[in-house]
Amino acid sequence: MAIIKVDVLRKIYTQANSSTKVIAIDTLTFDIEEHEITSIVGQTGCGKSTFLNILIGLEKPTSGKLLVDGVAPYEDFNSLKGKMGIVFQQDRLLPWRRALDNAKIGLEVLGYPPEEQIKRASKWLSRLGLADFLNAYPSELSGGMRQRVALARALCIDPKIILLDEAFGHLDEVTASKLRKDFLELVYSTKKTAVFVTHQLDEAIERGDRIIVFGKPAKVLAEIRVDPSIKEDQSKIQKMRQEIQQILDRN
Amino acid sequence: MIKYLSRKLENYISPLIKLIMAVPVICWILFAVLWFSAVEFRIFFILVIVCCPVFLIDILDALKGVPKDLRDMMLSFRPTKMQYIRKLLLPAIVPAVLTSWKINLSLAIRVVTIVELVGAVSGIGFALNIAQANFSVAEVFAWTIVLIIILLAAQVLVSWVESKALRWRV
Repeated sequence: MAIIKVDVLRKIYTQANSSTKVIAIDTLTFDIEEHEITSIVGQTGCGKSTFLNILIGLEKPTSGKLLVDGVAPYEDFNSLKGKMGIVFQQDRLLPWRRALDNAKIGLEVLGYPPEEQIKRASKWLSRLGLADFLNAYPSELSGGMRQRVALARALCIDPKIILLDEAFGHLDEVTASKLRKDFLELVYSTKKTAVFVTHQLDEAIERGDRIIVFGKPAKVLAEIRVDPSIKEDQSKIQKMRQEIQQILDRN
Repeated sequence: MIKYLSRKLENYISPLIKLIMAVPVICWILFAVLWFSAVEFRIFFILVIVCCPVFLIDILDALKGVPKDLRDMMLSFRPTKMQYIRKLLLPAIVPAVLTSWKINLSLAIRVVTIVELVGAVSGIGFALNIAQANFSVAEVFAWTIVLIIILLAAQVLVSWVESKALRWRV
């Protein structure tokens, strides 16, 4: 069953200084099934992050429909409380809160009892290798550790859907690769629906059950189902990478 | 805070703040002396009229300076308005509020001294007035030192609060 339905979605911005219109999302139509891991790939600036902002309910689409679990995220903002978690490109931790307090902010908003908040946040931080840094301020943590706290913050609330906006893009490859692996294990073990936005094709192939290729401005150029068996075969990954690259180049 | 949350209200308040700030402090002191008979009320009025606009502007700027990234992160959890204010906006403006306090403290002490000098029968400003009438340079110096000590003590107190409240700023 489709948990996310996107139907002829468009987003057009009007520039503040002039009346010039900029098309961020041309036309998007696709569905995302429950428990599916979907990678969205496209060039930088193709509207991937705008799409995620609409998906999380932070922006209103210009036209078309986007439903998450049958609800429009912008119009019925509060209906999706606790159902979606997002990890942004930057960690976006609150500098005045310690790691544990940052991780449990979603639980505070959802009104969990304080003991439960601490229990859940500590569990996720420990699972992500930060058991010894619960009381550290973000300024005392490395980039990778901060991103782990951001990951714990999103997972703490046990959302049905988890969104990642190039979440590991600015980390060094060793840290990013480890985080990716940890995250995938968590997503599989908790059976969540996940949407990854990335411009790295290898990452998209390795992580996704399905890849949606965005053109610029955002429109669906291709939807590719990834056979799990090819994830072990570097030559097949390379072949698929070339195919996607050709689709992007043609656009 | 209210001003920040309501753009409409901001449009009403901003010209008022500009008007209040455009009037020289000495004029406000004269108005206070002419309008109010109670000395304490004169001082209170001047403190409010001189310090509040500076506070409001500092707080408003701090609120506007809360990064969009953090706002979006917070909104993604779909907080209530109160949660949004309590968990994001208020802690985010603490550094600006403390800085504003530091600036306003010296301003407040100077203004109160002038009010006492012009329209009071007690206080350091009044004592300075007497000292000036008696041509007592030593007394003026003594009271000035007292004022400096009061200001430094107040600033030490604010710095202490700052060190506790902003422990996260390494």
